[in-house]
Amino acid sequence: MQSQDSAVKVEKIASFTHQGIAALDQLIAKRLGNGEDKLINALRSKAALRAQQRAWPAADEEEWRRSRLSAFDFDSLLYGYDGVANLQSSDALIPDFLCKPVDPLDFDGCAELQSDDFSGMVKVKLGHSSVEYSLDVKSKGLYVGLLGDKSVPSALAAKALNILEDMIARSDNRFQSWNLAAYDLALLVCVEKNQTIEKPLVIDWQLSGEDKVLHGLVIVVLEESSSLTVLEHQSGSGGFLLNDGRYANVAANAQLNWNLVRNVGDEEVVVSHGHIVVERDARLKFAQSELGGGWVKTRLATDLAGEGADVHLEGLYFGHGSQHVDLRTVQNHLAPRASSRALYKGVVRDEARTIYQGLIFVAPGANKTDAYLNNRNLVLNDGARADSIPTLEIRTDDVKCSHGSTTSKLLDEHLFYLQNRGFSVKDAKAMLIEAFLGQVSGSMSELVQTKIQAVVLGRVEDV
Amino acid sequence: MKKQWFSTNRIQNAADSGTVASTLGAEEALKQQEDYKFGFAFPDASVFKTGKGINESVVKSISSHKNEPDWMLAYRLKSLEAFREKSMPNWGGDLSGIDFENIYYYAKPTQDAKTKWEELPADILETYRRLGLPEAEQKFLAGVGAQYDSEMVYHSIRKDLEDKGVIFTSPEEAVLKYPDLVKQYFGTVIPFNDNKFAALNSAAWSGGSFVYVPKGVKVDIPIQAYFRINSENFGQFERTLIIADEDSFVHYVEGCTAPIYSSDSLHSAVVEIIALKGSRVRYSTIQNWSNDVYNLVTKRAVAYEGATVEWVDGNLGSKRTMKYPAIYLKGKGSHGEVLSIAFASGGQEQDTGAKIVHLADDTSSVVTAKSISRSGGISSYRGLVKVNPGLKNVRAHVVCDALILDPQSTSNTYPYMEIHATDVSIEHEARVSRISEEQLFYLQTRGLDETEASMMIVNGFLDPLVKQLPMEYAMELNRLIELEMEGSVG
Repeated sequence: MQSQDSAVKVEKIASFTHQGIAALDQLIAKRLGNGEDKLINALRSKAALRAQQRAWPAADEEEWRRSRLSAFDFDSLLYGYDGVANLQSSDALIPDFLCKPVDPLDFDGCAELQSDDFSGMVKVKLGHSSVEYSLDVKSKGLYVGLLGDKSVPSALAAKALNILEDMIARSDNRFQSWNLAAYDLALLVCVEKNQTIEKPLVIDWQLSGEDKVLHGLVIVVLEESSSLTVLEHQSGSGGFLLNDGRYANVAANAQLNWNLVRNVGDEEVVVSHGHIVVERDARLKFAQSELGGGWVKTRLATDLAGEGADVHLEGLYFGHGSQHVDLRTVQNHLAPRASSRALYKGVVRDEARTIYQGLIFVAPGANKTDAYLNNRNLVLNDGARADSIPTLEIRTDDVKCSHGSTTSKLLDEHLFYLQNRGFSVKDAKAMLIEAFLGQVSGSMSELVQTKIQAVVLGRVEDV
Repeated sequence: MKKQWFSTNRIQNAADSGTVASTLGAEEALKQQEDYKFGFAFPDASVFKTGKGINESVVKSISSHKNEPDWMLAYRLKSLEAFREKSMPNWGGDLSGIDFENIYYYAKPTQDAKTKWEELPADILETYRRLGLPEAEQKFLAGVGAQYDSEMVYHSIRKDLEDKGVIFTSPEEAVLKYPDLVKQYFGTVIPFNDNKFAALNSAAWSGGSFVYVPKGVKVDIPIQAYFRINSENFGQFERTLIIADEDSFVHYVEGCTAPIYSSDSLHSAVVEIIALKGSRVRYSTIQNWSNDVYNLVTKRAVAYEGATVEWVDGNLGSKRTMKYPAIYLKGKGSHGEVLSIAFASGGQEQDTGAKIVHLADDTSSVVTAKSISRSGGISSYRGLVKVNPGLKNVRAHVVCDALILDPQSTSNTYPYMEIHATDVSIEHEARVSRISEEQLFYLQTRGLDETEASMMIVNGFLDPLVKQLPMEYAMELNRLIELEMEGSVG
């Protein structure tokens, strides 16, 4: 049994006052001075170069056409942190976004969770002038640490570095390169060959800071025939830009199940890039719930890189107030006999605007591809807006690819039916919305469902 | 059975069309195959031709050759300005091969528009003969406006239509004879500065059709016009304006075939339809440009209260086609439909689709798009469904089906749905697949060889759209597709 007993370290460093892309080189040099590994530091410089060579994404780029940046001045944002966090022990608390319902059918509070219910718990606090990081990992074969520290065996860390290097080379817009150059910390999550991690790993991001840019980065390495479930939650407010990245390699026969719940404040700006490579006969299930953020732009790309790879992408979003939520998924079919599914369901109300842009790409030679993409939107009032752009690019013939998209209001028939059964209009609406999103949230871990439900119910109260 | 598809007798008598061609001997079929694709170009005998490239003096000379009033010249000149200012689209097909300086913008083939076939120059007549136009006319066609190069050279309209007050003429004549109608509607659906190619057309337009159907008049047989490009490096900028007055009905049919040339040609048409209250307009096109033509067309219709507009759009041939027939549903209860077929062979890119903008309550739209890609061809569906804020009871349904016939080909689908209203029902679905082996196997067990079976499946795939065309066009489309399928064209 690997034992990295509960550990915590709080490191406070005076705020780094330089701003934006222009200060990247200084930031990276300072990190080197603070003792960052040379190789890792050199990769930061590579990414910085890519960030500097590009302008901010412009409206003539299809992916950014509906999410204009002109309202923001990203170059004036301050970096929060310029050191390297270390690892120390402490007792990690069970994050409060997790809830195991006492009775799932008749919600009556949460049952008590023990740290033994998890394979590991990570809490990261970003913002202000410090990075706090606590870790509690107790499963054999699962290693969690920071890029550059020694908590992950070197063979696994080398694989993570390869992913990082590859993604730097493939990063194709300024935000993505910026994150890869300036990440406050890079969390490594690795599972050894043939290890099935039964219990979920929890990653809890607590974010804060005014006029700061927070750069979170997670790199996951799953070796052959391993499996892992990740429950990730992001919360916090204060007026920051969160520019984060999620990269993973799921090796042959491995299984990665990742639930991300983003529930930051309505003032926050979120840009997020993810890229997951899924190899032969490996499986990925990534479920994303976007509940918070005033202006959110995300992209999750998956490569079905080996025969028989299987990818399920699910997304749930609820835009309210004046939120702007723009989500993109990419199913890259690069190998034969792979299958992928994407299901994104969204509700939009008030003045909010949601955009879903999905792509199924089938490369030449990726025969017997079976891919489906589905986007459903529920528009609750005039003034709200939902754009749906499910696209296909198919470069070979032996495929089964399709997509569907629907956008509608709550149907009068459904409301009438429920009213007939004695529900008030309000309850009926809430029930229908919950059921609509339930198709996605219901497939996520039971432990995060309650939180999602609570947020959704809070938003439908006055519909 | 296959030989039937070699026939160039484009429009047969509806009754015997299925059998005549099948009696052709092998030699004759081969000869016709060589002939086919209307790849016969006659020596260029145009009477007047501007120099290559476009500038103020070219636009002025086009205008003066047409004896246009000043307001139209002014319109052309401000369009030219817009053309220069507008940038090329940064999406869709690759248009880098277009050299605007290397194109003739105007050629006038004969001095005056003729009214009888016999008076047409022999080479023009010969081309038409091969296309089967006289037969077409014999077949109860409401009127034939045939375009050879830029000018309407032949014109006929059935007497009874004239009596009903239906106007079917060239836009040039309309400018001179019906200036009020033209001023009222010309450029109102597609502004001169809508996009780079619409601006180019607005500056250099020549030929096309002008149709006005008065209140309450139902034109019960299709009105037809043929468009032909004949001069090498010659861009064709025809301009069509259809005005259907209240409670009228008209079906306009346009077919395009162009001869084969070695260097690139540009076709950039503008088609505007105004469907006033309670009217219905159907516009059917089959385009089979030769494989060096850039076909960049702006087509847009406005439907007022209770009106219906239908685009039936078949795209074969050309090097790049970018064409997205649009319907603006402006009036309460209006309805729009787009039926689109694209067939992309080697070296071709069919970037087609539909654009539906819901601007009023109780509007509905249906888009059905089918595409086939083969031999490395690229077909893309690009469509928009937009619903403006606050609208009630809006329905839109979009279905895209694509067949890919070999591993080298590409099929793309880019649907955009921008929904700003709540009382809506928007559905979109798309499927991409190849011909299923089960279907092939089934037909082969019934005694068809693989090629015949594939053709039958492709025909079946397109059938829902082909059925919407008038008989002779359905025949032609079927033949063109069979030819494409056999690889005898391409």
